[in-house]
Amino acid sequence: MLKEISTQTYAEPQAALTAYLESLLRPEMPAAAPPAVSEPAKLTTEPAPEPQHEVAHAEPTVFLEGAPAWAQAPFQCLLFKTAGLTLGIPLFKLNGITPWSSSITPMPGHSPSFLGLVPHLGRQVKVVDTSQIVMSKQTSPPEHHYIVLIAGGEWGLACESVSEVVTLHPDQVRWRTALGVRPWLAGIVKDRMCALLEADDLATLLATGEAQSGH
Amino acid sequence: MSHAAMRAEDPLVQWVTFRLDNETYGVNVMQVQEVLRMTEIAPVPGAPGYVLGIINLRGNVVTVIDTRKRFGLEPREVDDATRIVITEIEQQVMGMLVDSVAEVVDVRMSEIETAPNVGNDESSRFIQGVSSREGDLLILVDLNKLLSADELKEMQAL
Repeated sequence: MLKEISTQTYAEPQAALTAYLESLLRPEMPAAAPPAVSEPAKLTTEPAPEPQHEVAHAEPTVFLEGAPAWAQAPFQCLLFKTAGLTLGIPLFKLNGITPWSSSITPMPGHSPSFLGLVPHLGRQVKVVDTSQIVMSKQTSPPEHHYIVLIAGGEWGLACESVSEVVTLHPDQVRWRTALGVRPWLAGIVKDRMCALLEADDLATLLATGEAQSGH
Repeated sequence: MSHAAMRAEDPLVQWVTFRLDNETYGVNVMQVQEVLRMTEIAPVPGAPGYVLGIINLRGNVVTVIDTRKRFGLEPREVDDATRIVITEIEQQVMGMLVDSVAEVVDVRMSEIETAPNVGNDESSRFIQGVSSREGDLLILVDLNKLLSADELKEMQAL
């Protein structure tokens, strides 16, 4: 009995995470909530409602487009975590990792997702709360322990932990297509339960302010 | 290029620095008229939220704004270090309540990193840039953009 409960409680967040990651690839807005245990449980137990049929029907159109030019061969990817969600960034788009700095300087008048400036190698890195960028809502405020540097070190993505470097084959990724509404998302990796970031587009969105809404 | 020509291309600007929370901000010294110790600020009924009130400065009425509120910071009790920086913005005299005033620093234009504005936040446009000073970051404020044209008109009407 105890084992059953344990299995069930483990399976629900997994299902929730899968549902959330797949929702990121869908063209409609807004994205599903990030992994909240109660909502995803419904997704696993209830028969597939009509919208899911639509998604299943649309799947060949939405997901069959190939990998981007930079992912025509196996590539290495750094996995890091924020607010319970694992994110991946291709190593060749990564400009470094630096520990969270208490010397971050907040900038007045900005969006709450902009945490401030951190000095790194003689320049000021603009640091954002990654969870506020990629999630429409959060279950709890994330802790920040590391900053993942992208776009030549201009931007820093605050995150909870940096886990490992994995090698991904393009076939392992369900790539976002032109129908997707989140340019920061390259695709999802179901094996790793993670969202793969498109770092350059994310940096562009951050600069224009279009990445502030969680989508 | 001569030394003088290089200097002309990289002018020196003096900034009056003040503190809010744990950060240091600077405003162009040419726009600062004087710095006052805390004095009685008379509230103005119906004034916008960022206006603390008015003071009598040698017979002239000067509006004082709540700089912390304008910068999105939590309020703080007034203490001995609190100052009112009297500034001139668009030919209008305005007081800024700050935690303390530090010093006047020289910053070359080449030492200023462009405004780290993110996105299209209107309220953040008053950040002109930042400059690293002995390990600390000086945040340079463009007083001309601290208030919008409508807000300046609103203040004139007080």
